[in-house]
Amino acid sequence: MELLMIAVIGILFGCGTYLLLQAHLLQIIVGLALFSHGANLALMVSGGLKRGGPPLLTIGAPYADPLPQALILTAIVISFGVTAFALVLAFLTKQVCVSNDVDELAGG
Amino acid sequence: MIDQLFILFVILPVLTAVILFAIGPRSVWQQRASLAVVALLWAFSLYGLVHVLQTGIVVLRMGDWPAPYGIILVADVLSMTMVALTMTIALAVTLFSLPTVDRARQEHFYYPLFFILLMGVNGAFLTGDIFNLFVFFEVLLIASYALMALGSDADQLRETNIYVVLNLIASAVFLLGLAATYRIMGTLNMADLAVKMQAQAENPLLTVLAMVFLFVFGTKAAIFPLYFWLPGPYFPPPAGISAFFGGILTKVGVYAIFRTFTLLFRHDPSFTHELLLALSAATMLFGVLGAISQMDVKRILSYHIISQIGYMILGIGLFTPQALAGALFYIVHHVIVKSALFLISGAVQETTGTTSLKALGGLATRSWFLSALFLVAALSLAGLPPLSGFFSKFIILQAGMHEGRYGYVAIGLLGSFLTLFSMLKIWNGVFWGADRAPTRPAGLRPLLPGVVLLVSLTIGIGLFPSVLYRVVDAAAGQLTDPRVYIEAVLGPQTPGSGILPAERTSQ
Amino acid sequence: MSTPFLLSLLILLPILSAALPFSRLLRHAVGPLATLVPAAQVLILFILWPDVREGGQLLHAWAWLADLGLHLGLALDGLSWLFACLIAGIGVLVFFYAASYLHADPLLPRLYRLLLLFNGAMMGVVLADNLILLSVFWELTSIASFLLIGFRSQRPEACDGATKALLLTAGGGLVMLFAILAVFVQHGTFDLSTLRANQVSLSSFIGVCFLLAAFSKSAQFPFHIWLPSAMEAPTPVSAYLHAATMVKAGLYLVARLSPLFAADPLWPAATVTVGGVTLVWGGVLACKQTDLKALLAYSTVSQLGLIMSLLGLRTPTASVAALLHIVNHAAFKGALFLTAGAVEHATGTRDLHQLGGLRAAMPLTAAAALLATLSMAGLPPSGGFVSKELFYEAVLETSSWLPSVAVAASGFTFLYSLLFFHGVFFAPPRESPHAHETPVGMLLPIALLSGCALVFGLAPPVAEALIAPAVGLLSAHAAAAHLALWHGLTPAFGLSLLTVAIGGAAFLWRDALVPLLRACKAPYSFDRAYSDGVLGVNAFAVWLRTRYMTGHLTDYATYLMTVLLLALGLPLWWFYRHTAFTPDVAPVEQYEIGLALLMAIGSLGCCVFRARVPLVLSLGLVGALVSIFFVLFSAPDLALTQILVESVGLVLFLLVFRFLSPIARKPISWSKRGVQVALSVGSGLVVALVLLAANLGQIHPSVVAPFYLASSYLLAGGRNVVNVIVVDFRGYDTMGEITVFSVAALAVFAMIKLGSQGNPGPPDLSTPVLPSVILRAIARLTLHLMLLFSVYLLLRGHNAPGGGFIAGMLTAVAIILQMIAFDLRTFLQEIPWNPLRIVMTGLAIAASTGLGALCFGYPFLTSAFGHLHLPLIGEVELVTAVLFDFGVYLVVVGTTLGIIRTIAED
Repeated sequence: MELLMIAVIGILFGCGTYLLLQAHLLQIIVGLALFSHGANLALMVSGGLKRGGPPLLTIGAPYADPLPQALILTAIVISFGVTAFALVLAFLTKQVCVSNDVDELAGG
Repeated sequence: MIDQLFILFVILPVLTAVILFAIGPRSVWQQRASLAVVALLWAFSLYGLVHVLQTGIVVLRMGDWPAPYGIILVADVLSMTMVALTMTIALAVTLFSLPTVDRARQEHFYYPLFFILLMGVNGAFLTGDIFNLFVFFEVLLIASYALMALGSDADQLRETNIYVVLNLIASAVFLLGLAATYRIMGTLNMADLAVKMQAQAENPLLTVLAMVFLFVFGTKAAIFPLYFWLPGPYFPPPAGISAFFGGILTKVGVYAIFRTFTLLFRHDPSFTHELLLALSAATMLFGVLGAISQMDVKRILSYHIISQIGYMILGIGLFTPQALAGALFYIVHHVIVKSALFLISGAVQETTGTTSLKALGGLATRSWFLSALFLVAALSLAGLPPLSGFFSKFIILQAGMHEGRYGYVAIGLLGSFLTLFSMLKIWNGVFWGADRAPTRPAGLRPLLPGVVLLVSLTIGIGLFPSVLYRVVDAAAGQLTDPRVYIEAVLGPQTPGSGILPAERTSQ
Repeated sequence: MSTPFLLSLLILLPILSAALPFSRLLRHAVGPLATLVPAAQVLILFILWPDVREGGQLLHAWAWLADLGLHLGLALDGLSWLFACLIAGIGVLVFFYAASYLHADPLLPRLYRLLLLFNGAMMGVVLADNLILLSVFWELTSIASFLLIGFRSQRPEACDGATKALLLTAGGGLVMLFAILAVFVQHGTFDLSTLRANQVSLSSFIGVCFLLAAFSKSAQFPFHIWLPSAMEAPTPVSAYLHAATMVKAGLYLVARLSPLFAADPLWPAATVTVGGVTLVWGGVLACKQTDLKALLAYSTVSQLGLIMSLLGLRTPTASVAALLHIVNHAAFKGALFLTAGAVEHATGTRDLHQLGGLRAAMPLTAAAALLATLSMAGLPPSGGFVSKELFYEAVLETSSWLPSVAVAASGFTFLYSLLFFHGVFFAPPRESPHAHETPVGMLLPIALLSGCALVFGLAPPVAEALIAPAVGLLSAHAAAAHLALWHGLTPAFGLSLLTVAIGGAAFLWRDALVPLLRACKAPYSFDRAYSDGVLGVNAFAVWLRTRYMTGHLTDYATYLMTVLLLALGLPLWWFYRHTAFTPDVAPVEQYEIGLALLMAIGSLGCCVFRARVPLVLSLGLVGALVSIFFVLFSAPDLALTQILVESVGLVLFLLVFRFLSPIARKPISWSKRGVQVALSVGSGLVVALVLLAANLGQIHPSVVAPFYLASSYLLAGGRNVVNVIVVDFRGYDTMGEITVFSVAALAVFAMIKLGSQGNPGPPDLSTPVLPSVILRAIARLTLHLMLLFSVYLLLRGHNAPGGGFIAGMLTAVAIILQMIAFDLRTFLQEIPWNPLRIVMTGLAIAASTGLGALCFGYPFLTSAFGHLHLPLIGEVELVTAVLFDFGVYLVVVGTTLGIIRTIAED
């Protein structure tokens, strides 16, 4: 099971990288979103994957490792905040610099 | 009880940000309150540093949970030095910001954002938990994104885009590294990690982890070959912000390298630290070459940051007590001088409207005082005696000689020479030559208190290097022997046994 | 007064006086006051003379950075005393002269400040016993020299000359620092006295480094190029720094260190050779000059070469000759520079073509200059003659080729001396209507220096008294050397006659010879090499930067990912080389494979789609799948959070993407595409390999998970362990996290508001989605339900999935739904408050809850809990952690709404 998830994470990072290398800011932001999905799943894997054992102390052991879940929660919130910022930045960039194409931006 | 107040370095800034928001963006109290809080924290940070030097490492358990379960703040000499340094720069930057930050910026949360930045930086320096380090990295980063983009002109937006995207990549890799770390070691507390890693000599898996973290922190610290992002974004923001970024922000990455490569990744120095050495040499040279290639004061200064980070990494690569002490000495010196130079460039910008060497000239005839301040800082940066730069360079290079690393010492000296070369470029372009710079009505005098503070520090350190050396020596002592750190966090350790967490003291 | 105090006073007095308020209070007395300082130094040196006369040494060290072997060690012995006397003595005269020379110049106080600074630094160089201290003062003299050369900072030539001088001399200083560090590593001390006492002999390599420093400072070939450029400095500066003292620092260093290289064959060879080449080279170039100061500068280069080669010979005679010539040169060259200054002062030019016949207008100056010229040319009865005789004696004693070089060089010396004197005072007079006799303030120093030049020749014991204490330090037997004007008909005298004959002949045929010399232009000069070097470094730096730092985000991302691959490749290979792959895989359900495939499709979709809507939808698909995985792997809180975040994120994307430019399909080269694909595959692979390695190589299972599970309810009072971790065990993380979130809202608001201030009106937008009646009805209905449900989620969060974040998100979604359903204006009317206020309130609540614990003496964020049973909701934890969670809730609601609203408004 872990192996499958690791493969999925690899795919997420691979596709994320591909998008990062594209020219449009929206693509880049989507690539970053894929990165953060991948990283969150990686944290999930780091606690060991367990089915049917949510760490709620009402249902009885064995529980899944709760720490990675807490960490992912933090990571999701942070990446949401930052992605929102990046998106607005792209939006403003379009308004001020007329383009969202990083090559055109660099070209001045 | 006084120990518990160390949390104020992190929490007081965020509360201040809230209060500044509450009192309204137009109020003059924005400025007064900011200055008051920064001055208060500055004084407290100096007190804290002395306190830590005298009584040893201060450990704070967040939520009163013992390590490794809860998050621990660890104020050792290194951390407190960095915090005190941060607050010093914050004070100078605030002093500079009061007369220079325009109304629009002030009304759009300049000061609250600055305080959040302080919170993130102090939090990153003080934390003893590696995931928490990630969190505070994000705090300081988002505040820095905001401060960088504030103003929203085309240059700023373009550079901020680059800065944000690259940092987000690094953050994702950071998370990946944290996932791997937790998977391998089962803990996130740095002291606990250190205990468990001690037993793993030359385990290649730890080298994999070390490389992940080196990549992440190296990106933040702008070491070779990851430095390409740095000079751009430091150019457009107002000089106060550039000064703080240039002085402190990259040093958070350097600090993280220091922490992880002295506490955690000691398993295979013949690879990891040797690599750091090689990178440091390349960083020194490429950074200074970049500086030479530029024709603008702020850009030249930005490139120098890179070069000088090389010296710091050289210290950690050499990995001897004196080298670590030297690198720390270098950090202190660099942060002070670099911020001073950025503020001076800001003063130039305020009074002339430009920082381009091609448009400037002859400012020495306008203000001998400003040019003297610049000259002292510039010579200090180039490592000329008798200023702080000379001693920081001396200590590291002497350590390098002791290790028989003559090549690196020679590169260090070459870097110093090229630094002098490029500082002369600024001097000749801005202060000497025909007086042809445009004039703006802005008065120079109110801009200078912060600069004077920093420049007198570099002179002071140059005249009395032993005072600072005692501090960095103590810090290096703690870094060289991680048991001190581990036992402060986890309690007494018996060799070979697992961790013995202390009981929770209260409920 | 104690001698250590006097020693330190020699250095501190000038440096401290440099800070006196010359420009304000003491404006009118600056010259005399400043002159008092070197005068005091002379007095001190006179007092200290008995201590060093018999070869004694005064030594004192103060604490500095003792851990690293640094002491503020000062030592005064004969050699130091001699140089100190030069610095102080010439200092008195130059300081005195400068007051008249720059009379009424507003910059005079600054000149004196810098001169005093230099004076102190130079004293430091010759008094330092600690090598690091020596290097400190060494660089200080370079800095002072830099500022003095660039004194007329409006002139570009002055700036260039100053820069050149600083780069060469400070660069040499850095090489010296390297040598000093090497000395310490090998011998464990920086103290010259200790090194001498231990009779260490240093290696040739260290010697070469020291020599490079000395050569650059003393303008030896090929570093001599800075000295002529340094003539941009005001003339008193040239006389003081660039003739009498600073350029002698290199000689001092060589003299000082010679005993430590007694066994080294390279040291004397290099010194003699370089000195000899410099001697001739400088002499030839001096003859070509038309500018008085340039002539004198090259002459100085030549004379410094002479002394350097004498120091390298290391015989008793040579040592005496070297020391004597140092003194002589200081006197006559100082006098001549000051003369050149006086001439320029009187006529306004220094060009030999424009000068001539000034003996009539300036008879006294001419007389004084004559004495100095005699000394320079090495004619009796001057001091220069005595030292030249000794020089010949010394070279005759040693090698076979040196005498011929010496004679040739002296011939040139003779020639340029006459060219100088004749050109100024005797050549056919030119138009110089304002020429007048030098004022007394300037004439007196010239006369005194020339007088010295004469006295050293007529009464050699005077010079001997000066150099005697130093001689013994250079060479053990040299104390016996005798100084006399007339030695008898020695071979040296023969060479002197020969010199005069050659030089005289050359002077007679000067009209043919000098133009010939001037016509000989080297195709490539060292000056060119310097400027080409500067340009080359600049060009290389620019080339490097434009290649690497392109400013393209795409390039930077490429670098970053490439570095990641490189950094991880090697250690991963090490790991997998030693690790057997053990596929102990837990069983995989078919639907899981299906989900994974969907995920792959979703992410590939993100890569393929260029149209913005499918792109965003693919991303949404991935997000939804992630939350399904969370459900599968026992993480209900995460699944809820993820799905809420995804939906808000989707709204955000939909709001923004219309205003982004469309994604253009660009033609892209196959190689570039290949790089992209390779990097993508590579990074995916590397990431997977890292995680796999972590899985295979686990060292410790989780230390903390059992603790959390065991004590979540007992110690923290919550059954939802994830939530307990978030608000209690690791509540501090959450504090940071909500700060990030709040700042995102602040930043978005600030950027957009500030950005739109400068821009003409943003595109007018109504609501993003067309409102429909049904939607409105549903929205009205659901709003209250959702709000109620979110309160429930918030309160029960500690024990069941939920908590502040999820509840906050739900509230936000409910309100956003209203916004979509109704048009924006209505919405804004309904909710007129600023969401940022909610954010800040939440942040304040969270932070102060944490601080509350401090009041009770507990660490930050320590929670206290009790339980309260509420109908319908169940058990609720009371007080602090919930309050903290409430803060989180407010932050989330406020931030989400704030961001959406800010964008929608704009």
